[in-house]
Amino acid sequence: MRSQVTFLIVLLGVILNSTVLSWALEPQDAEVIFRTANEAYRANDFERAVTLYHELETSGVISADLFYNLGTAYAQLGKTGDAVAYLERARRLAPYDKDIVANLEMVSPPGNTTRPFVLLVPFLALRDSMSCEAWIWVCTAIFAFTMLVWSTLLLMGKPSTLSRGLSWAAVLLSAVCAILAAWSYHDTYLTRQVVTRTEAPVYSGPSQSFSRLLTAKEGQKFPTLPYDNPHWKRVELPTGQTGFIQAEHVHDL
Amino acid sequence: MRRCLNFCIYLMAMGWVTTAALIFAQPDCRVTATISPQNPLVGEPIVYVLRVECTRAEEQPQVQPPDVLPDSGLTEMKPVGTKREINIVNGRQSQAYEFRYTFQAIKAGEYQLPAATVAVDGTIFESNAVTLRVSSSPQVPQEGVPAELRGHVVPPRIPSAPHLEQALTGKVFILALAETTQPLSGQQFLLSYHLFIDQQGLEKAGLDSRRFSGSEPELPPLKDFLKEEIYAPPQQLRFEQQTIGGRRYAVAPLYQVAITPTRSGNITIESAQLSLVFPIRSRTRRMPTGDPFVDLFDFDPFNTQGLQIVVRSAPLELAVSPLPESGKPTVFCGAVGQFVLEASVDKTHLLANEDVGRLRLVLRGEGNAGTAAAPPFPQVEGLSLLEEPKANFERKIENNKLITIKTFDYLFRATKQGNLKIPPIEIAVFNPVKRNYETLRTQEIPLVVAPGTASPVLTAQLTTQPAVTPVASPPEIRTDLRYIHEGRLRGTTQAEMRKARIIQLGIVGTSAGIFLLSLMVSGLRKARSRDDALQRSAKVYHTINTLLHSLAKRTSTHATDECQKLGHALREYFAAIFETDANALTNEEIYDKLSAAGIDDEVLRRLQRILELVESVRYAPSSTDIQNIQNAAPEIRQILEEIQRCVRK
Repeated sequence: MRSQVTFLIVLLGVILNSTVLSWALEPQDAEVIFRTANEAYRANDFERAVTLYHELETSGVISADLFYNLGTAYAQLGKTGDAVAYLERARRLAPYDKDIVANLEMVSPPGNTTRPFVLLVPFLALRDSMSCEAWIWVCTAIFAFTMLVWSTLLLMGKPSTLSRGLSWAAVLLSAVCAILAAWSYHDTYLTRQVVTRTEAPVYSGPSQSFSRLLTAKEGQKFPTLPYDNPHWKRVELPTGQTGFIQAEHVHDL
Repeated sequence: MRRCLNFCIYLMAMGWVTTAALIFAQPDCRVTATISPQNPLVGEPIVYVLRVECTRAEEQPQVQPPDVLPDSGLTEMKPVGTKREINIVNGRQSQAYEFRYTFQAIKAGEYQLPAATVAVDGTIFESNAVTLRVSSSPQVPQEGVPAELRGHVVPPRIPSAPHLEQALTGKVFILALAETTQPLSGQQFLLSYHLFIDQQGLEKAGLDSRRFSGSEPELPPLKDFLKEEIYAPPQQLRFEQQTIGGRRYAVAPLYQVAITPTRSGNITIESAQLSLVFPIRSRTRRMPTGDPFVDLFDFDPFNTQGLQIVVRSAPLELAVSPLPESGKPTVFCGAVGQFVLEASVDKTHLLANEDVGRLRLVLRGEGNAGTAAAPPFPQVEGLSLLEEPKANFERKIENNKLITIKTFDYLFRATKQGNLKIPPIEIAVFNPVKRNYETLRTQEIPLVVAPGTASPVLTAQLTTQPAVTPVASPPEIRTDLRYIHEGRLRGTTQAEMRKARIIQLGIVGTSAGIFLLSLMVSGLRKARSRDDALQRSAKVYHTINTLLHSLAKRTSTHATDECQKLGHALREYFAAIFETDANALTNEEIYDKLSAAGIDDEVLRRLQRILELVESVRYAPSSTDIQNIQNAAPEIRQILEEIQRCVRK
């Protein structure tokens, strides 16, 4: 039985290792374009930097560094809406990165960031200590570990008090990790709209003939609500009301 | 003394009578139902007023308005307000409550509203029934209305002087005009409202037609339409003179909206209305009477006296047809109207892998071009689309017609030198005039692509123009921002993320599988162990039975040995039942486990006595104990049978 467990641990290790290796692979061309874009930024040629960063984005690269640099370049061009959109994407990928958080706070219009409830702060700090992907990996690993521990206990027949305690601790840990991973996933993949125009009117219905609820500022974020219309987006306003904003005035996050 | 007693009895009797009167007094109420207007139009708001007048009412009356069946042609009554009055006349108090409800008639006809029920302090009262005559369009007198406007004009409402309504018909009204009354579902068209005032006609009626005041117009809700406001109700009306049927009218636009039906079938656009107050000309006012008090109260220095006229538009009946399903092309973009499609490029000469070209498609015409979806970029070898097309939408009024323009911009790059061609792009629309689908095509666009100096990999670095819309001159460099991340690009791709998900699912599945496998193995082991234990217990049970049989015969010369063997066998038996080691099993554990298995306390006590007896024989055998065991042999068998039965359960 011991040999079986050892074999399984080795198998898991191999799988994890292969994943890490697949992450480490970087396309050479992407590296070159990224470096050139950074040089353009350094030379204060922000437009060119933005073009090059976009080139990478359209090629399918998903990177916190790329989105952070792109958002910062947009901020330098004075395009607050696009800057918020890309910095927010970067924050979702790397919530622990202080540069991203600092620049996002710098470019966001007032009212975009709300102070969380004081008791939630430590949990938020814990959640943001890792990215959503990392949380999913941790959750997966702990789940696998818990399953292995329970399997071992079952095969052992008479578990000791220590091994029982260990198994229950693993269950508790995997539950906590699952909650944090789900929370992080929800925060990462929650659809939002960012206003990309200097001023974007929000109406009470999907037409300009409806009453105007407010005028959103560039860079303001709103959670998206389900609505099937290519020209209008249905959003939730900070007051809890539902509003409609023209699709061309916002950027999908 | 006796007189005092009589007086007390009298006082008590009076008190009882007063109390009884207060307790058993019932409220006296009158309930009246009225309706306004008496002869409404289809879709016009109707107010149902229920007035409850009570002399003795402790609590507010509870009202049940008349039941209106859903298919009766009237909408459900909705409460809009309650009013309460308290009147004290000659020291006598009375209360009046007014309950207001509003509803509408969906179809014309005569309706009988049944009595409303009112409960006041537990007593039920009923109101009068009300008759309602609803007409689909008002009866407009033919005379007084120009022939061009007949059927489009409704008489105004004059609450203070209903007799003037006929006389003022065609002199002040709102004209509702729809571009078409037989639109298609999804077709966008204009709906306009204009205020018409026949100034001469009003002057003749004694009203000052040039100095009137008005409220905000009440416009129909247009629930069955998507609407885009073209002209909002203005703060100040701008009149133009217009002659219709030989009559001069001052005409002011009130509201204009582009509407698109969201369903097919017959749709009624309800009336729009506007409340206007026209001053009454002073020559028509009453002459002084000579009475100083009457004249004083009638004096109106600012000429505020006026006649309130509620002008309305006639309801519009639309017959909306659905789009035909037959012949619907696969490239139908959702636009309904008469459109033209144009395509152009910003440059026809490009450098390969360097220049960014822009293909612009413009869909323009009468209709809802806004709903058109972008057609796919044509697949041309040597041309690659850089990003999703960007759409722009405009609308304007030309010759009183709504013109919509939708523009799609495709940014592309040539990746191969040579003479290339952008093939015709197709968009299918529905033409409401021809009543069929038509496919619009652009012209073929030739492109000349010269060899560039950049390699395909680093095209972006060498692009002379930015791929996105040129940005205005940047503001000064922000130093408050943190610097960009340099160094190695750490990231992933969608494909790698998908791969990671698969691996995660694999790990979760494998570990869960291992757990399930272990669970199965453990279950099998337990089952096998249970079988072993059962076999073992059956075997020991047989030995015990043999020993008990031998002891019960009292012929054995080895009774001491047999008693000791019995003690050992009993311990073995319990060890087999509980799947444990016989040497590690104490008597207390046996009692606890048997008790947990549901063995009766009495049986346990008996078992305890026997086990103690067997133990004493095992360690210090005496003839009395052996004899006792021999006597207890049937009892032991009985206890074991009891235990065996419980264990089997």
